[in-house]
Amino acid sequence: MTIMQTSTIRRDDSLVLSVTGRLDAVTAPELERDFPAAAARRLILDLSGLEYISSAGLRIILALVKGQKASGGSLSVCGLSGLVGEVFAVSGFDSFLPIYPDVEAALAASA
Amino acid sequence: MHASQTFPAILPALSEILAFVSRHAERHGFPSRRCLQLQLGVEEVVVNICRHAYAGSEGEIEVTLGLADDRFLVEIRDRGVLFDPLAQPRPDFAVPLDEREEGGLGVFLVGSVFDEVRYRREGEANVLELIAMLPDEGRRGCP
Repeated sequence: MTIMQTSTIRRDDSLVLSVTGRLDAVTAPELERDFPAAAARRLILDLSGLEYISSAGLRIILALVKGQKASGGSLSVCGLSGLVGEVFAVSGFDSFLPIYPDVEAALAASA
Repeated sequence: MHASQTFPAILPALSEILAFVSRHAERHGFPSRRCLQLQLGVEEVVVNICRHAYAGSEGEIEVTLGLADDRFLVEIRDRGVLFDPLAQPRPDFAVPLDEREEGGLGVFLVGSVFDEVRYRREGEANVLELIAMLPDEGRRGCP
């Protein structure tokens, strides 16, 4: 049940990091470990394949945001749906992060 | 209906605990989206127990699932230090998110996905009762 996978694609000067599966208290530290901070100036988090997120997952995203800010970069999020969209909304994450429907929209906005 | 299972209070037990709760919730007709919400609430409680209840020593988490009238009950019991999650302050949504204190959010999420949350100290145990209305009676959408 506790499965998370990541993949990255570089598009122009943006890095699209796709996270699929479940981002919970067990998998969130794996994401932090596997993903080097400040790997790109523009980081786009594609969560369209993410089924589940808990506060542990939100904390890792917050850490990514802080890392990007510290290095003068940016972070945007796209592909929110289902539970993940709900959790972003109730926790207020959708009010301080730029959120786009999909990768193309996020890329267009950061271009 | 009553089902009870005891797990070690360690993070690697999390997925087994969530599978246990979700399996029973599904059996009672909760749609998969609602099962994910219930998992979220249970995860936040379990993670708190794993991190804080036993102050580094070994301990257990007992999860009991039951039905009462139109409600699905998840009772989570530990024998760690006294901790009433309902007495914790609500996260301050006026503070920008990246300046907010850590913690608090998990407990807030528990309250947003379950219809009712009750805490009691029973002897040496913390007992948290998470209650979800059964789907036919009052299906809820978003938390």
